[in-house]
Amino acid sequence: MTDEKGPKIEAEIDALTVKAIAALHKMAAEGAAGLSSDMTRKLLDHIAKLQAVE
Amino acid sequence: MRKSIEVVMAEELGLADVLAKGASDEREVTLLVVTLMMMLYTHRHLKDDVFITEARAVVNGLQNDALPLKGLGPLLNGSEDEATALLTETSVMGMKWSVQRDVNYRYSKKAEDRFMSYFFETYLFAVFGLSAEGRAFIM
Repeated sequence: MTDEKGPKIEAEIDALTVKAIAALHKMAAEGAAGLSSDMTRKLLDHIAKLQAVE
Repeated sequence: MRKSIEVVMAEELGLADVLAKGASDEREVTLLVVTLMMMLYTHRHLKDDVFITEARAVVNGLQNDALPLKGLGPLLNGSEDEATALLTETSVMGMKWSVQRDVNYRYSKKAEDRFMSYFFETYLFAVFGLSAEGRAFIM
């Protein structure tokens, strides 16, 4: 991959990741995750930990 | 195969607590494992590899079992028909490879939005996007 494409791809991944996290919280809030609250909470907690590390 | 996937999820994704027996519903853990398996092997979807046929059997077993209606949270709030309809719309339960394959091989905004309407798939993507290893892989 060329150096000039790197920042653009990184920005796209950033935007998609933000969109994914927002979608997860929306599904959880609307009860649309299709999962138990325990599993949903564990997975969202895991995402929060990763965001804290980032 | 499942064991290998579980090791990856526990060690690389830090999901040991989620996968621990008794920590979560066994069925949900199975679905999460199968979802990652499908992601890793989207290019093999027509090959009927043993691990795919085994995963499909597991998924079919879950669908045929009355128990999957339990532990699926919001699904329980509707009627059994509604719950069954929702289950068949869930990528893993229906083994809908197109949810994962379309964003890889026939990308569109619609495919992206569809992918992000499935919790496990979206979750795994977010983990990838937030991980240093995932970014290093792309870059």
